[in-house]
Amino acid sequence: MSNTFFIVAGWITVLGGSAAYATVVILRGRALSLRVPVDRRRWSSTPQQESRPIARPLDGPLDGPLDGPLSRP
Amino acid sequence: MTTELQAESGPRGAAESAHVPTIDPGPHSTSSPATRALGIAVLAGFAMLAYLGLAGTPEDRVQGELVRLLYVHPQSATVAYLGCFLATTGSVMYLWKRSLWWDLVAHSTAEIGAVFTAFALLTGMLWGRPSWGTYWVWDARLTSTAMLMLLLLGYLALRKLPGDPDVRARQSAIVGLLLVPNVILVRQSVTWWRTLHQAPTLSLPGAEIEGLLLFTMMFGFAVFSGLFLWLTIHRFRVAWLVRQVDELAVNEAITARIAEGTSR
Amino acid sequence: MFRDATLVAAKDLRIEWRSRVGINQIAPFALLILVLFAFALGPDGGLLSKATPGLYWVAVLLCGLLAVQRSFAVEASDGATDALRLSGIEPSALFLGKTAAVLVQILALDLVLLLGVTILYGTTFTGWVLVAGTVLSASVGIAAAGTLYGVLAAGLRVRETLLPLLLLPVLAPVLIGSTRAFEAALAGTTSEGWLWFGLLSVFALMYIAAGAALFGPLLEEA
Repeated sequence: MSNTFFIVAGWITVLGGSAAYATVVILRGRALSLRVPVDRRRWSSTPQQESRPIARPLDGPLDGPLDGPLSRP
Repeated sequence: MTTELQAESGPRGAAESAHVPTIDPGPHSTSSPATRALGIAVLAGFAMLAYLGLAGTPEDRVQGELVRLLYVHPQSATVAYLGCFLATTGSVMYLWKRSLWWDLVAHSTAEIGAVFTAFALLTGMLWGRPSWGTYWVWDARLTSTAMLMLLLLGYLALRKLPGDPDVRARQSAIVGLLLVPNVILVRQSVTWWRTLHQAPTLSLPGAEIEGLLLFTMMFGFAVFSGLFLWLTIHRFRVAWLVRQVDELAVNEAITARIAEGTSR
Repeated sequence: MFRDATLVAAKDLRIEWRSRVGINQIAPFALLILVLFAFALGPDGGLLSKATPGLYWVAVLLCGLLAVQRSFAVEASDGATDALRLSGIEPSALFLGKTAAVLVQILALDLVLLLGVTILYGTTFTGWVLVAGTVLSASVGIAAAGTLYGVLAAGLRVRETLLPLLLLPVLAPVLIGSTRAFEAALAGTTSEGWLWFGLLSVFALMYIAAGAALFGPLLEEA
């Protein structure tokens, strides 16, 4: 087999693999976010929403990401 | 990734109805404006990298065409080790702070680390077949990367078990904490194992690469780091959602029980 | 702390001695592995004698795994783990005690297997100091890592399958190190062997430290 085969196979592995993995993550996220109210996933809310106090019955000390995508609670 | 980018067209104006607690109006995805921008940048980066790596760069003097695999292989390996390192950091911080945040970081980065370890192994094998004439040699790097894969698979197997999430987080944190020390020990022993008994190991000749080829390689590192960041954020949010769904289920069960009690 | 550790170790060893599982099941299993290797590799040509270091340590790993699983199967019944937790013994002492008990069993298995390979494979051992040092340091490493991962898997329903997956990759440096040290001892190049002995000691110390520090968080339940 020619070198081209191995090169193309390698690139397909990485590009296809990461695209597939990213798709799985995205789809899981979509399915799950349907079942979680928006105040528990702050990244999809607008800033003015975040400033409003929201009652969260079961939130303990382990509260969610507050503002940035990965900010500390 | 493309599916995520389309999510941008989701109903942004729906935010004002968010004060109804049970009905969820927001866009149903793990993406935010920042990750969308990052996602686009990473996609563009990969297009650029693919052009440079597959067509835009000349052949290497030593490697020939096969240098084109060096634009994805070392990058995958680096991201894999980065994920492994962050998994251990997350585990240590979890045991110290006991915060859900660090637990989820450890889980997410370990999973991504495993994915990229698989990429590194596969591209390494695809590089080795035409270069060394065989898919697998018991080279120190290959062997220790394979061991890293096995360690990560063990960690993820533990994570996947059902049960109390806090107990599982603690157990996983201890396995995760030992991940990097184990990798170091394995690497050290495997390196000695090879070098004390055989001729020096085969290695990827990257030192003599220069010019546009070197730039492409470095650019690859940047693009892969961006992809890693993007994946980590999204995987973290998925892990966060999983915890929320579990909690809500418990909450509902409790409410149902209370309602049962009062109606009697 | 060491008094408590001795108590725990003595308790485990007493249980083992009374149940005779080690003598009646694990030791014969160790010899069975040696016979199986002989079947797989063929009795002639000195192949077995040449491969002794590797075969010996694979056998030790497999039997050690059984000893570790046994050590926590003992605790699983009758709420014994809760009793231990409530006993007021420090987690680190508990870890050291359980490790010591497993270590004693593994050392006994080491001796059985050494005798086995000498008789069955016709291996003649040289460099006894290095052999003894390797056996000791490798066994401490196996016992310490095994106890740490063993308690982790102990409460799980899938412990029989999960423990090997978690533990055996971790023990890869021990297998490599002890095998090479044995080879060096048999070949008479002991200086190289002591290098491996160093690696095994680092591994053992690391896992004793990690186990003593981390046993607490592992024991606490929800």
